[in-house]
Amino acid sequence: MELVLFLVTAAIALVGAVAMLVSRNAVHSALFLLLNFGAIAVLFLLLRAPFLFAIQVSVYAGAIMVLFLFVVMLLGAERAEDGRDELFWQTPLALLLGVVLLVEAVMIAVRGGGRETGADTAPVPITGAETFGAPEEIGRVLFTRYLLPFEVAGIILLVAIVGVVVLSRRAMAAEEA
Amino acid sequence: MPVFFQISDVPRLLPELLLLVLALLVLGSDMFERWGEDEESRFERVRAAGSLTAIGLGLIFLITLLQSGYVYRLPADAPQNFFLTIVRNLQNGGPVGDPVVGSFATDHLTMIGRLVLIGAAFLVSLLTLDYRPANNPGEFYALILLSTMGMCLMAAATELITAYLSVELTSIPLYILAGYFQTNTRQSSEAGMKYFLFGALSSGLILYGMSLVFGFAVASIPGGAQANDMTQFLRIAQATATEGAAASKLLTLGMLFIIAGVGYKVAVIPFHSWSPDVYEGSLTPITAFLSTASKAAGFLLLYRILVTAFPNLTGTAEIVSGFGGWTSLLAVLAVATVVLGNLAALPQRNLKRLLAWSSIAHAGFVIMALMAWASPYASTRSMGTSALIYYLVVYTVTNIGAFGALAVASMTVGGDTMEHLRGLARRNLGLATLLAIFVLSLAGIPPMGGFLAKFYIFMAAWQSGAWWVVMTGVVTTMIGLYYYLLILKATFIEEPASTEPVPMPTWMNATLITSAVLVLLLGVFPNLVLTTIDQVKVVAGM
Repeated sequence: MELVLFLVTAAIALVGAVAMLVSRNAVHSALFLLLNFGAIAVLFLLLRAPFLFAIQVSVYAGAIMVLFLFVVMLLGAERAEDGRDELFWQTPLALLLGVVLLVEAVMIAVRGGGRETGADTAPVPITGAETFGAPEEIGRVLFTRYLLPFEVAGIILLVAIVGVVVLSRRAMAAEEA
Repeated sequence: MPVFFQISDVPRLLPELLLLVLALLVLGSDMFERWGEDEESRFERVRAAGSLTAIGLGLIFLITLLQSGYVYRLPADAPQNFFLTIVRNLQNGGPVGDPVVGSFATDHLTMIGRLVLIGAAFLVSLLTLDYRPANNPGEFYALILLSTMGMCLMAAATELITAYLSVELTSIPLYILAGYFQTNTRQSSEAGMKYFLFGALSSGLILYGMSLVFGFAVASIPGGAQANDMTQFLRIAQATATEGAAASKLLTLGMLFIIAGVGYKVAVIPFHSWSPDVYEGSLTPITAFLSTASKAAGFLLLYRILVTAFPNLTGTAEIVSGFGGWTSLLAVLAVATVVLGNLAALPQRNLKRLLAWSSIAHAGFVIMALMAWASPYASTRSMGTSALIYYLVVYTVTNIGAFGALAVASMTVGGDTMEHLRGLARRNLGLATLLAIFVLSLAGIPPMGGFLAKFYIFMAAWQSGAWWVVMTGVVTTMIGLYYYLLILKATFIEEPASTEPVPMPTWMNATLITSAVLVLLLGVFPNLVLTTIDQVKVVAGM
């Protein structure tokens, strides 16, 4: 049952990701990305990480997607783009290199370098896996062991706010002039 | 190792906290003051923010120097009075102890890193003092300060999440700063945008690599209990110490992504393509900041990650037989970087682009210092460490000077191409001499610091058996000499377009003279800093 659910969700996630890349309309791309986010959220649930599931839905599928669509529509970029790519060889080259990387990663994951020693076989189940990704546990480590990075994240947000103010005020000043 | 943040940890984080406070102060003093709209008060406003930043950074530098105890250490039997107690408490946060909450080391590497980075920020803020009114000066200087704080965190991070977030805290202000000025709107915006896109991609690479490494480290400890401290470099090294784990390709894959991501930040070939455009488009003092402090922080982080988290994957310096481990990979990167960097610099006519390519080439030399880890001997390895840090110190001072001289030239002569520099010696001999000192140091001519820096690097790499890397380095240094001498030829030999004397802005002059003195001092008396640098032998908890 779980496997079936996984396969279906994984397929949806892949289809969403590929469709996002190939669709020419920016709004369609954004919606396919939303589909991908939703599927990934279900994958998190399958991994028994309810907190990540909630974050994925509310932050990615919620906040970020709204922002994406808002910007796309604000700029009027939703109409299909038909500009030719000047570097025509870039797409096939990127595809080729991407496939090489994919094959490499899959080979490493499946065959494993240290298989004979058993180091690369399927991950061992973690003791206390139920509490590992639970909200209480995350909250606890966030304010003890990871207190410093947590505070740094706050400062990064300050930087982002300052940056937005600076760049947008500059754009306004340029408009007035 | 204490998991909780102790109140006694505050003095250990003091320089970073002070940088944060100073940034808020600069931001607030600009925001809450009522500034006039006329030209005079706009200039006043820029000056106020700039001076506050420069003075503050100077003070923080002195406090950090006092805390590190490198110039003066309070004797144990010193009398108890108010001031000496402050000094004592300050020095208690010096280079000792376990990392703060397991994620922030305050060892010698951090101390020296802080001094270099805060010193670089100080020089850069002095360089900007002579610039004419800009928009939002408070935000401009606050972003420099916050970025410096991120760099100090990068130098000290001993844990994946802190490392990643400090990289972001460093980069995000720099993206904004690169696109800050609208005097040449298109170029500057283009620089900011390019830097941002490449930076975002490299952050993604770092994160992907980190998640692989974390996942592998958790999976390779039996039972997987207590997994939430597996982001610490030391725990990763412990978990992967077994032979099977070290041979695993999955761990190597994660490490590759981390190296590639940090490689973008320090602009090593093949991750360099953003840097000439970004350097050319940004304001010159910001370019100086980008090419020195942010690179130095990146190298310190790379060094700490590779040495503490992946000591089991070091490998050899051979490429034909026994290719493997990060030393082999870095050897290839180093050779590609010095060769392509120096060759691409040859045809450049714009000096900012030329120095951008030269700074890419210098990144290659820095990487050579890490070759020392191909050697099994601790003495060679610590020699490599000293060479790395000495190179970073010299390079930071020299490049700030070189870009500073360019900033003066573009401000007073009106541009920064070879043509603009023509005959500079006859228009301002002082500026031309300073430029010559920096350029010769970059080229690696004694008695400038750049010579010894290269010498130590080559020595460390040679001892670890990476002779072919050293040979490439020596040959490309000679190629590099050509374009460095082209600058000097334009400055000293060619006829000037006009004989009008070139004025020298006060603060820029002071900065350049300071840097030039430092370059000469470092070159003639390397022991002034080498004895301090040698203490880095032990990286926290090794």
